[in-house]
Parts: sequence; structure tokens; C-alpha cells
Amino acid sequence: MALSPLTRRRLAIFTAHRRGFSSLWIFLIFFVLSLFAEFIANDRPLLIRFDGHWYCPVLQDYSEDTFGPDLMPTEADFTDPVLARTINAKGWMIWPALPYSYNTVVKDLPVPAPAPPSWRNPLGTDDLARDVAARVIYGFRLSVLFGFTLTIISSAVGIAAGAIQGYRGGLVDLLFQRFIEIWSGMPQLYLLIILGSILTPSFWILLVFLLLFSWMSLTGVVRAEFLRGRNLEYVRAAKALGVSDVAVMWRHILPNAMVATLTFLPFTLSGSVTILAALDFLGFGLPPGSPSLGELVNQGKNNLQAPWLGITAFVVLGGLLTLLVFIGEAVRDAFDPRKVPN
Amino acid sequence: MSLVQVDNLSVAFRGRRVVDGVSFTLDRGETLALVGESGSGKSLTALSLLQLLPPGAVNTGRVVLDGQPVIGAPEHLLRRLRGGTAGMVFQEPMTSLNPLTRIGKQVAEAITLHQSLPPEALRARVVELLDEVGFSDAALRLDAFPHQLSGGQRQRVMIAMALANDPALLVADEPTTALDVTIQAQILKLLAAEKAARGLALLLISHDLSIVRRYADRICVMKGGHIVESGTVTEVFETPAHPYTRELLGAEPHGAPLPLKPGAPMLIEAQDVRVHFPIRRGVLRRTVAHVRAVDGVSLSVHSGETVGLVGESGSGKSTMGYALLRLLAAEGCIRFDGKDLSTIDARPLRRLRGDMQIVFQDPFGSLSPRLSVREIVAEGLSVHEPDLSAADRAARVAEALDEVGLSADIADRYPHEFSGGQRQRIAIARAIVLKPRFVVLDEPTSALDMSVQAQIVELLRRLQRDHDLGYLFISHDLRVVRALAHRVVVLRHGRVVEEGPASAVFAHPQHDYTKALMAAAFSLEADESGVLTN
Repeated sequence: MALSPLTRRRLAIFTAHRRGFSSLWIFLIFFVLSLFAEFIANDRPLLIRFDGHWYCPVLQDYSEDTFGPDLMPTEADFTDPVLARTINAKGWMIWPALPYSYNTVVKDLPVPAPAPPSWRNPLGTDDLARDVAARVIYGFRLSVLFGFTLTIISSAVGIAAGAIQGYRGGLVDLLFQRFIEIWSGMPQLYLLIILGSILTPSFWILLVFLLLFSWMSLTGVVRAEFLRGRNLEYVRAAKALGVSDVAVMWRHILPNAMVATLTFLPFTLSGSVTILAALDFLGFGLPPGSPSLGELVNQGKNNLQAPWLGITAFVVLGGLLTLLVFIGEAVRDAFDPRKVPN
Repeated sequence: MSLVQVDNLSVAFRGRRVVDGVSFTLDRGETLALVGESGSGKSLTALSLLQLLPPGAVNTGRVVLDGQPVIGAPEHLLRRLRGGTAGMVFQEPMTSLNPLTRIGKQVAEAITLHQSLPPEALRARVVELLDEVGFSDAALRLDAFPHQLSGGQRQRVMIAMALANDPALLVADEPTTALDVTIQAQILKLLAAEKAARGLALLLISHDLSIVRRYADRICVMKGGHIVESGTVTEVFETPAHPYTRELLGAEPHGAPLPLKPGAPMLIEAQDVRVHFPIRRGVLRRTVAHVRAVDGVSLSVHSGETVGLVGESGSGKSTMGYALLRLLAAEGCIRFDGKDLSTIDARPLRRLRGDMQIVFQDPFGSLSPRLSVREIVAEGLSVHEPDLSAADRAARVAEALDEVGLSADIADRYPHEFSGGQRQRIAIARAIVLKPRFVVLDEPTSALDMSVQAQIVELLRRLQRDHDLGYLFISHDLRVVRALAHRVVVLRHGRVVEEGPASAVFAHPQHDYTKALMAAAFSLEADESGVLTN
């Protein structure tokens, strides 16, 4: 694909921005790793060789009586010592690096939960005896995915709304602006509390609800870009050619508005991550038991005698947000027309 | 010893020399003109005198200003020279003044930077200066903001600021380029008068040879950072030695419009077109009045004919062009090819757009920086001939580029890689690729260098001959209009003040306004009758 010189210039500035560029790599490595969380932290073995057959419990459920007729026909619990002994007698198992999933309760802890970091639980356990390291890996993935989904959808909606306002102008713009002013006056948190008492919030319900309000953050800048853009001479030239309104908006004005949007994107993303963590912290977020960073913060607050909870939550959340902000800075510089690549 | 001595001056950016080995001297009471096209290094040469070069520029050589070497001089010394020994007037009076400060204060600031005066004396001095540059009611204008003044008045304020500390040298960098022709003449006259009265040395930087010929004593012709020729005005104009100077002198748009074919069909006919913009005031935004941008203008264009629409900025000529193409809502009857454009629906109008095209003034703004030349030129084809195969489309683009004198292998490059003239050719290619019959040319040459203007005029004439195009040529530059137009319509304040065959209008202008325009354009005379108050 041929890149326009403008794009090439921006890429050059971005890659030259060492802090932002390395932040992007670090973030991408963590994110890709967390996408494979099931293979890193799980309470099921990656691979089993049993009685001349291969089994892959990470990908597939097995019933317990697969491994011996005298076992129960229920779903296999590979942490059960009886089952483990049976399998090891006729074969072997490969476990993930952390033999716990986010909701695995660690049995036979030497001390009452929350247990401090040890060789078995590198970051300790929380007060429900679940492994913190495993929860962090899953929680990171959930936060980022939630953030990405919310950011992408709300940006798309926000750009569309801003584009229509700016391009049409006049009465459409006026009414739309007043609507946004009223809509943004809604008390989001109270509505969430009310919602929480009616529905059990799930990933998607929370997403839709937050989307109702988050799309407004971009409309302002996009509207301004379109107001400016519709008077540009090349836009006028395109209209004189008979190009349709939608095509003019898409081909000629949107690229201008994308500069503002992309500049905001990493910051919107970190905002989305924060708001999910905040809701989880307050207990209005994802259902109990979900691997959530906000819930870990809450545990840290409730268990001040177990500082590994609070410290872990702080480092992970703070690190994630810092990485996103550094990337955002680099993106902003890349789109700055006054910046000279050195 | 001369007031200004420049020896072997060079300016380089990252090792690339944009001004190379320039030498000249300038005495008190003398006007030296630096002439050249954009990019020739004339502005950088002038900025070097006061060390006002943009960051990254490396200055070498020797510049002596009033006995003081300036290259490498300490900052406090330079500050005394700037505005003290030498005043400067820039091209853009719109952006050279601070929009948030009253003009009296801005002029006063120019004085207090170099001398301390008691408030009363300061005020008197400011009034005196403004009076000197032609504000008849100077004392009342002290509290005006720049946006309340016209372009010419703002340039007068700039001159007052430059003269505030009785400099010995005045550097005027394209002082009239952004102004209307009649105002240009007034400003140049003012500069000449100040020079004579104060015995100033005037360094005049211009691309406009007619200005230079009239106002300069000596000329340096610059090209590519070098001075290729220098001498007195008579020497250079009468016996130009360097081929580039000869090229510049011959660059003025010339030639006559093509003869009209008898019985050419009517292309577009507009009757009593009005474009009014409402002025809204108050909390309820009630319409209190209208700006009558175009106020009852009628005109018609036949195929193969060029109609020149002439007027100064604000006369409504561009608005009229947009209204004809229905790019703006207008009242009145506009018939294109027998179809009434004022009642037509959006869809059939869109189909008609292939037949009527427009070329804009600013070749830098009218091409999208994100699209390649191929995409820009092909855009109209995808709307009007969507069934065209990719190969046919590429062939049509190549053909259009060839017609405007560009080679087809530039199609994958981006607009920023081209010069102004080349961009304007691309914009023309975008218009003619659709094979239109009527083209509105909205000041297509005024952002271009003189020699490029002549080439574009030549190109437009050739396209007209080959395709029997009808042109509406909108311009304030009567020299270009004379080279192209069959008929001329003169607009002022949205109304037609004079119209007729070009030969008749140019030979015997009837209306005072037309006469004043002609005088200003062809002999740079400021009209004293007061018809043109700025």
C-alpha cells in the first residue's frame, strides 16, 4: 500500500518519539500475552497424555469418567488430587505457568486468606483465596477489551453525530447541540445505580449503558472540524464536481477530523479503562467474581493488612494508564503540523 | 559611505543555500528594488538586513547597516536597529497588526520601544504620524481596532509604525500585493512621498515590474538566490542583459482573445441575480438588514466566449460566480443550456455539474492534500461516468493532464510536490476532464507569479479554442482580463456599473469607477477625485 507523504511523516515522528514508541510495544506485548490468558493462568492442564490418548482440557471440556470408570461422570476438576493421581498413573499432564484461573479458589493455603506472595502465588491471594496474579492477567485483558470496544463504538457514533452537525449547520446543528447539552446533564452514576437494581450488569449491558453517554466527548471537535471543513476550497471544488454530500464528508472532510479523533483516541481509551475500574470499585460494575482491576482496588482498600493487594492494583492500573497516556502523547505529536521530525 | 552595504550575503537552511552571494549597496534618498519570483530569495535577503530570519537559517557574509555590522551582532544592538535605524513594512496588513490592540496603542508601542516620551507628547506624536500617513481624522482613529480598518488603512498604520522613530532605511516587503489595485497606487504614492520628504533609503521588494519601473531608482533582479542583473531602472528595462530579465519583462499576460464565432449558442444566461446575506442582531438573532453581495446582476455567456467579471474585493464578483453555478443560494433566473437552474432538483443539478465547472483562485487550498493527483482529477469522473473501466479512467486522466501541459507520470504524486502554477494546471485538469462547456475561472492567476500567469492565460486560451468553452473570468487584474475577455462586466458593490465589448470598455471607459480601475491598473495612478475612498 502506498502511504501518502503526510502519513509517512507522521509515522516517522511517531517512531522517533522513543517513550511513546516503546510504550506502544510494551503495551502490545502485554495485551497480546493477556489475550492468551487461558494458556498462561488456568486451573486446567494445557495437555494430557493419558492411556495412549491426547487430551487438551484448555480447549475442551472433559467428563471425569473419561479418565477412569470409577470416577464420577461430572466435569473434570484437574486440581482434585484423586483425579491427578489417576492421570499421572497412566500418563502425564502439562500445566500452565500459573495453575489457577481467575476464579479458582486456592485450597490448602498455609495461612488464612488473603495469603501473602509465595512461590505458589507470586502476587499472593485475595480475601476469597483467589490467585491475584491470575486475576490481574484476566483483569488486564477485560479492561483493555472493554476500553477498546467502548472507545471504538463511541468514537464512531460521536464522529457521525459531529459530522452531521457540522456539515449541515443551521437548525440541525442548533437542535443537536441543545440535545447534547441536556443529555450530558443526566446523572450517570445514579442512573447506573438504578440500572444495577433492575438488571444484573454484564459486560454488554454496561457497555451499552456507558455508550449512551460517552459518545458525546468527540462530537465537539468533530463538529468544529466539519464546520471549518465545509468551507475549504477543495470541498467546494468537490461540490462543484457534483460529488454527493456523503462522499464529500467521507473523502474530503473526515480525514481532517480524523486528526483530532486519533489524537484523542488513546486518552479516550484510558478514560474508558478508568471508568470501568471506578464502577467495579464502587460495586456497580461487572458481576461479582469477574476478574476486574477495580474490584482488586476495592479488596486492597478493605484489606490494608495485606498490602500486596493494593500495591498490585496500583501498579497494574497505574502502569496501564501511563502506557496509554505515553502512546497518546506520541500520537498527538505525530499529528502536530508544527512538529519537525528530527 | 552607503547606508546599507551587503557583501556576499548567503542564507542557508540545513546546508542548502537559498540566498547565495548577494551584494548591493543602498544610499539615503534612493529606492532599490529587489525583483524576482516567489522562491527567488528576495524576502530572505531583506530579512537578513535586520537579522529577522526564521529559525534554522544560517547567515554568512557581511551586512553593514549605518556603519554597524549586523551579522553576529548582539541582540540588544539589533533591537536598537530594528525599528530605530530601519523600519519594516510587511505584505499582509491583516496579520501584521495585533487584532486585539487599538491602533493608537500599537503605534505608541513602536515609539516607546526606542524612546521615552511623556504620555501627552506620545499621544501627540502618534496623531502626527497617523496624520502623516493619510488619516484625515487621526485623533479620532486612535481607538480603532485593526478589524475596523480597510486593508489600505491597515497598511498605512504599518507604515506609520515603521516611520515612528525616524528611520534612515525603510524595508517594504511586497507592501501592496495583498491590496486592491486602486489602493496599491495610493500606498505606493505614500511611500514615495515619505521617501522624498524624509530622505529615506527605500528597499522595495516586489514581483510586480510595473510598480518597480515607476517607483525604483535601481533594480536587482534575483533568481534562485542569486542577483542575475542589476542596474538603474532605465538600463534594466531598456537594455536587459540577462535572459531571465528579458523573460520577466516579456512575461506580462499578452495577446488578444480568440475571435468569436458568429452565431455561437447561448450557454448560460442570468437575469437579475440577487444574493443577500442576512445580518442578524440581538438575542433573538432577528434579521435587521441584508448585505447585498450581489444586487440584481444580469449577464450571459455564449459558447466560445469569455466574459470578464471585474471589480475590487468586496464587489461581489466571486459570489456572482458561485451563484451562477448554484454553489450558493440566489434569487433570480439562471438558465443554463435552456434549463432553469433556480428551480432544478438536486439530482438533475448534480448531473449538470459535469457541464459547468469552476477553477478557484488559490491552487494551494483547492487541492486536497491527502489525495494523489490521479485521485483528484478522477474524482469527477467517478460521479459523472461511473461505468468507466479503470483503464479508461486512467486514460482520461492522462489525456486531461496532457492537455494542461503536465506529463501523465506525475499522477501518483501529491499536490504539495508541485509549484503554484503546476497546481493550478492540475485544478484546470480536474475541471476539463469532465469535458464541460462552461467554466467559471475565479481569479485563477492572481496567486501566481507573473511569468506563470502568462502561461496559464495561454493555456486557457488554447483550451477555449480546442473545446469551444465558455468562460466567466473573474478577476481584479485588468491586464489579464484584457488578454482573455471578449466582453467585460464591471461590478461595484454588487451592481453592474459598466458592461460592453472588451475593446470598447478598455478603449473608452464610461463610468468613473472603470476609469479609476484602469488608471490604477495600467499606470499606477491614484485617483484624486475621491471616487475611491478606502
